[in-house]
Amino acid sequence: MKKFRNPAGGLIDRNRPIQFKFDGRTYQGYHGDTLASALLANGVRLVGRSFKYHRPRGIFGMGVEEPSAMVQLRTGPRSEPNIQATEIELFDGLVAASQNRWPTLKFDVGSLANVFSPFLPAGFYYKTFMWPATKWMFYEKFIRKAAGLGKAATSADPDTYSKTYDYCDVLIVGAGPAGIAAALNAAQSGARVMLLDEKSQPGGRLCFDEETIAGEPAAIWVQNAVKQMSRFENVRILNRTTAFGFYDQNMVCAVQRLADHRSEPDIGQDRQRIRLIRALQVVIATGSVERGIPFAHNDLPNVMLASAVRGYANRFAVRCGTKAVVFTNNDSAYATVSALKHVGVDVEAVVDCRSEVPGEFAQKQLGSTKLMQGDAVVRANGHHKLRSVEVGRLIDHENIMGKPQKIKCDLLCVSGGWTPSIHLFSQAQGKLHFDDSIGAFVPGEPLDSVRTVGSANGKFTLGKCLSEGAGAGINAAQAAGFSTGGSMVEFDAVEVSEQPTKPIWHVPAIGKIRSKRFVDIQNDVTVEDIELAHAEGFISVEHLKRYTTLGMGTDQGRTSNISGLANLARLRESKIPEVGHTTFRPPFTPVTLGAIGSGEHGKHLSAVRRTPLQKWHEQHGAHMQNSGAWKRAAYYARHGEQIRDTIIREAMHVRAKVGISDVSSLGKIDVQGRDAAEFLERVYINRWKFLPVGKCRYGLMLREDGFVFDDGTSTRLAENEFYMTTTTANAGPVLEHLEFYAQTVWPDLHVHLTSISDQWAGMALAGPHSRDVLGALIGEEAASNDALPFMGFMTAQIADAEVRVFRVSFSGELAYEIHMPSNRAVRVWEAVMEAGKFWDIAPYGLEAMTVLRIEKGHVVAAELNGRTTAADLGFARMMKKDVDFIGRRLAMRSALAANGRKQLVGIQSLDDRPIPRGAQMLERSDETPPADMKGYVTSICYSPHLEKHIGLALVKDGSQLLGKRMHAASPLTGVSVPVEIVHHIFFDPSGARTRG
Amino acid sequence: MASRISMPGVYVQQRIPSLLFQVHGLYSKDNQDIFKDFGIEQLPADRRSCIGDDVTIMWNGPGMWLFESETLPAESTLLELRKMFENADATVTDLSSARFIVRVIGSSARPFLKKGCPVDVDALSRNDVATSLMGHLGATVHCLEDEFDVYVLQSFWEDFWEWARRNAREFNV
Repeated sequence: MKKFRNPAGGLIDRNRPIQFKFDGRTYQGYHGDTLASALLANGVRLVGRSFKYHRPRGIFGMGVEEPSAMVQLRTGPRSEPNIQATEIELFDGLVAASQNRWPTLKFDVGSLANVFSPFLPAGFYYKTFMWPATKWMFYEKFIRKAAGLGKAATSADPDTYSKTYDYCDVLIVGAGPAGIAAALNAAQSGARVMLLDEKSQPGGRLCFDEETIAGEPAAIWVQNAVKQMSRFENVRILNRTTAFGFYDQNMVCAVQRLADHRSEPDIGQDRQRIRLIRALQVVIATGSVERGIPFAHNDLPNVMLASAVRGYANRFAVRCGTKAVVFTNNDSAYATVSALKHVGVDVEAVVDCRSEVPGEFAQKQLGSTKLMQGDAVVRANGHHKLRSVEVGRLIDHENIMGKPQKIKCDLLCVSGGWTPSIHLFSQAQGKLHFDDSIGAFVPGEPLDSVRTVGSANGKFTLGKCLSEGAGAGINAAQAAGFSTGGSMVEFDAVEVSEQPTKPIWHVPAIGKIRSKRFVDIQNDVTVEDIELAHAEGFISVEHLKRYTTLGMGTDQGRTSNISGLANLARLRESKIPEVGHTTFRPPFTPVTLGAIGSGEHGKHLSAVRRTPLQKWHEQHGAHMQNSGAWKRAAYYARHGEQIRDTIIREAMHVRAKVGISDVSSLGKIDVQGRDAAEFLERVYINRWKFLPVGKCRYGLMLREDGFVFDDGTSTRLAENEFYMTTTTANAGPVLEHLEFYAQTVWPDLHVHLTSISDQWAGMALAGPHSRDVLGALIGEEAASNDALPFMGFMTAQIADAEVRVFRVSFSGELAYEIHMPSNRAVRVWEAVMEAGKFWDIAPYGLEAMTVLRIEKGHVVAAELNGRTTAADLGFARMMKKDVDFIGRRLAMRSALAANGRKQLVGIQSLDDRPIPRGAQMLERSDETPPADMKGYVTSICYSPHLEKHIGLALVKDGSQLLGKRMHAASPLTGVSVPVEIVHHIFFDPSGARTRG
Repeated sequence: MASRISMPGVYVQQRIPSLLFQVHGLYSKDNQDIFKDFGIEQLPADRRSCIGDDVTIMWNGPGMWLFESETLPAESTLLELRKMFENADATVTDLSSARFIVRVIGSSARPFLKKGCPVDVDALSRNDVATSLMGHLGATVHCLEDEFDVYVLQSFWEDFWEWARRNAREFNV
């Protein structure tokens, strides 16, 4: 293959050759190459197929603006689709493949779409697949198969990702001339400066434009500037780092590619890192992007941006062709002429659609090359590569006069002007202003802490970039509170006079058969597509985007958006600012999901709380289940046992002997202070002031709106100290609720609240032999009913730990809760297990606990669902009549006391079938939706003691319906079970077992 | 796979003090020297700590202090503080088992902490205290010059340890 690399020049390291593969064929490049430059150097021009029409496509740009050359990078689990070849740094062993073609890139069956393209205009899928509606499912699989370009890896990503938080005084985004000038100046002040650049080395255009600063080549100036900045401890330069989003309070998010330039990351190295950067001042120096010009077949391989061709020549010593034509509407493309000549490419002509003479500097670069003023390239010819262009005389930008002239060439360098990269400024809520002189939007009114400089601000000459950057660096440092001494480091660059840009948004079509003039090359959107969308009423720019897909995709329309807007403005007969622009949403460039997740996936997705006894549970066969953030033991299955049998066994064991269960996840709050009792009096619906020291009490608290908030027991440890427990789920909300009242509503009360949920672990010891087990641990007398009666409390020593013993029961059995410091939990638990061996003690899990509490009619979150009042749950008599408490007044609303409220009842199955989970309560079994629902089932279980399927339900006026037969029907499963309404306490209604 | 050999940049080590209490209150200026018997002349300012004789007092929110010691006995010190606070509008709660504490040491300690802590870690200096996050978890970070103590809830210790292990890997922990 003919080589297109010059033997000298460029910033590549010829001593470090690199082997890589593209579409299965091995090529050679050099360290410092991108995949795009290496392919061009090897003469590879056809790189991919277009999204919609499968047209042959080559490399168009040199950076993030690249719309065409997207490849499938790497293989196996690291394989990634749709990566711009211009953004891939070459590494040894790189494997890439073209996309969206079958069977081969050259002979792609999909290119038939191009033949049928008249039938596939913009929005055809919205129209074509509307009928018949029943066939949509048939169409869908073909549409899905046709959609997309590359393929995502199907196995897990082996790499790791992370995030980090950064702070700085001055953040400079972009290390081109403006950014470096800003950084050098801000650095002098001592401010913490961060300079980000998306490329592997700073410099931006200075790395490939032949310009001089202070009399030395720009590339040398960049090296010296970087060296100078490295001496400042307060400056950090992050290469390969793209700022992709600007968020509130100057939070700039960036992605740092730590290992993408290697075959795989080092051991322990993350592949990519998200940096969340909070900056006092931000300088945006993100540069600008050259745009194309829509003319017939402007998407052919080797129709390229002029700046890209110049960059490949100067930075990579690559000749993108042998005979070139330059097509421009501004002076910047003239630099490409001299760059091409420098690497040995013949430039046949410069076609400048302006009738004015270019600037002096441009003329110098033009030299003796033929200049065709007032002309335009009207058509590119070729199939898989460019063979010639046709040039015609442009009249008023609207017509082509006479027969176009054909020029043979294999490279066309196009420059349609420059579009500032104002994405971050716009995301910072900056308003944009349309600058007619450059035909682009630029930052409007400046923001307080954001400065946009250089070509991102529409100032394209090197001198202006440097002076604006330097000024912004000084000002940003000063605004951040740093003194710069007033002196600015200035840079001497040759300021050149330029002939203004004359925007051209499309070249008029010629001939009877209209060839495609692409506005958006990535999405195959043509001038005709925009005309069609407009004709069909899509005249809003946002509608145009969605109807045609203009500006979508990985390049986000960097080379095409303005052309699209301008063509819409032409059709609307209005000006571009009146048409407006679409929203510049983050991310600026594609960011991998891996980086966004930053490793927080799978088991790292959310934090898990574990009780200190979890390992014991796991070692003893517990099946753990989620309970909010906690993991709790659900049941302890024995070999060969079915889950249902396990639950029944555990529940029966508690009723017959003694069981032990981990209740460490309960919320626990230390309530201390002179007014602690008064505080609880106001928080709970029942009385607390006169609770004796050493006693527990069940308490219920309401929200302000009168509905039940939470319940639990609180124990008076001392005159001014209470130990409050809450439900597991509400531990956090209850503390927040109490703190709100303590701090803002009753600041006069002396009360301090501290979460001690993690300080104390807890276990429930329940069953007829629980007192025997406790007696074996702390002495029979201490455990006696006299010493520790129902709702009593004492401290004791178990396994050398001081524990708190509460005589409370959630199971309906004689029971105790033993709480101990978390770091002693395992020892105490094992001591209890050892002491309980004689009585055949066994652990029971959450499932058995649920059975026991339903049998006893205790309510949990299913009943405390935010829609129930104390009266609904049978606690009306607990409510104080004479003392105010949170929620009392709104609980007295007539609506909450009226008939027809759903009240807590028990239900039992009448035909031995399980009651459906979440069932609705109906009067008759034959009711069809929408039925008159009398209530709903909240909890269900099989009761081994009643040998029935039972449950709790909230039923309209339920307390008056005891004995009534109803139906528990599930509209989801279609199952309806006849049930009888009974009292919600199924087991030991007198409480004799609990109090015994 | 490429390899890299280097000295560890981060050491992460669990630390178990003999006691950790939360003191609540002490709003009055008269109480500024309440811990002078423990070698602390004045309560630390907001987001600061003071280190006395075997005792460290860390600000832990408005009117809240963490009282920590490596050597003092928990039980008798708790009683001593309760007695001290009888006339000081303050209360004390034992949290000795409630926190999982690690000490982070090494040249890469700050870059490591920055991976999980959204405060300005580079700006933390000796005796600074930050009540913030570490990974997904609520955490208190105490700066001891080039070393840091990180406090998280005991029930999150496994998650925190896993987070630390994963994020310290690049520093050759």
